[in-house]
Amino acid sequence: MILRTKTTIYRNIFPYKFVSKLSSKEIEQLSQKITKILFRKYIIKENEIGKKEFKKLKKLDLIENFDISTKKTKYFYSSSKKLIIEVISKEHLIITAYEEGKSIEKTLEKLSDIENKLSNITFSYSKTFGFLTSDIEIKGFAKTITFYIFIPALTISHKIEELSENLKNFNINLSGFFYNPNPYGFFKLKFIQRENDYDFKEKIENTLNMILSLEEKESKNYIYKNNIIFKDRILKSFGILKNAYLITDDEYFKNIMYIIWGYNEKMIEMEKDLIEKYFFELINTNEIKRVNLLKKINLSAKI
Amino acid sequence: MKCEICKENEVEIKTRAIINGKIKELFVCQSCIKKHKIQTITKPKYTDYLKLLIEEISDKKKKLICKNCKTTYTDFAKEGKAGCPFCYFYFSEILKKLLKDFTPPQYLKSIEEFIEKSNETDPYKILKKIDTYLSFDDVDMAKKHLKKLKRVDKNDT
Repeated sequence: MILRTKTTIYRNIFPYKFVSKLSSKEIEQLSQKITKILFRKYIIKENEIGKKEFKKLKKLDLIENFDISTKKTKYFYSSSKKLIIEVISKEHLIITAYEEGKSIEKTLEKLSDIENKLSNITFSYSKTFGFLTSDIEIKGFAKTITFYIFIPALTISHKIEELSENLKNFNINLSGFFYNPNPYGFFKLKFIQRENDYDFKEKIENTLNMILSLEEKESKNYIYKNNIIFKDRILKSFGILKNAYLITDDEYFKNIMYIIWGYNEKMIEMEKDLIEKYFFELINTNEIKRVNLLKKINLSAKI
Repeated sequence: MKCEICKENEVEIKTRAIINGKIKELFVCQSCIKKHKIQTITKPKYTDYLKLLIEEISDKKKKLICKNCKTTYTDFAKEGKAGCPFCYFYFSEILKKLLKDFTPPQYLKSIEEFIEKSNETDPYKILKKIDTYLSFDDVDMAKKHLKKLKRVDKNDT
């Protein structure tokens, strides 16, 4: 199951040095200049994202630079929804678009709109190397697409390590989301674009199909061998999420794993896009609010 | 696909492995890899390639330095981090070794053009540059180029 798609572009302004080599004065100047342009082009409307909001974005893995101790980076929400902009982060400008579920086209479209608006800025770009970034791993297209996927059967049958090793051969990174490795089946699948758009999309589609079909096969196999244990875990998780007064992050992941898995296997009933809609929101809240939110979700067991 | 060695375990992805000194791609399961001590190849990262290239290049090249941001080639290769856009040109010879079958995305303005035109004497081109800096609100750079434009004008007259 694909829970979220996140697409990020990394850009540097020419002829400025990359962030690590800028003096604090240069950082201030460049940061002001970039912010001014973003406001002028109506790319950002609201004020900078505050510390509280920053922690949430960090928890949800929606920002690149997690070190705010230096106070260099400015974070903004874009005027268009589900778009976050980092100014003077790992690169001069990092723009992230995200959507629930599998949404390659929509996230790419959003970023291309922003790029069009910024067309009069001269980015550091070379005819040989493409877009130039401080991190040479991402230079070229300077674009990454990350999918947040749920693969519990592969996790439980200890096949993640093998899968991750194999994917490395194709320069695709599979790592745990929230916990690394995530024992509850929530993973990030990160692609760095190195080929043209058509080949890149094909590579993504093929890889996703391969992983999801592997998961489906493994899930059937696991349920066939552990039918009673599986049903027992689903119902126990259902009970905890429905009746607890406090649910910690760990409890949430542990139990939601069986609820989503049960939903995938048609043992739990809920609205079609409910998990995609609320999964991240439920991470992004405290132990008490989480319980109240869960009570609002119409869950019913079909076992 | 069944594992090509044990013919039992299911394997979905081909693995690149070194067998009898040759690189072969085959369907092989993890247990066979461990059992037969097969040396598998994972595509190295750019940074790993660069680290390998440090060994390969001559001492003269090891002393390469980006004149713009003073990043040394050794630091660049060790950390995989560039200090400025010009690093890519000072270290281009080595970097090109990593670029097999790479076609960069399309973009209008390239840094090569800027480098070619850095000793500009064409007033029109200087004006164009001033325009770019102004569109980016970079008044200081625009002023610098305005001075340059005045100098070129004087020389012409």
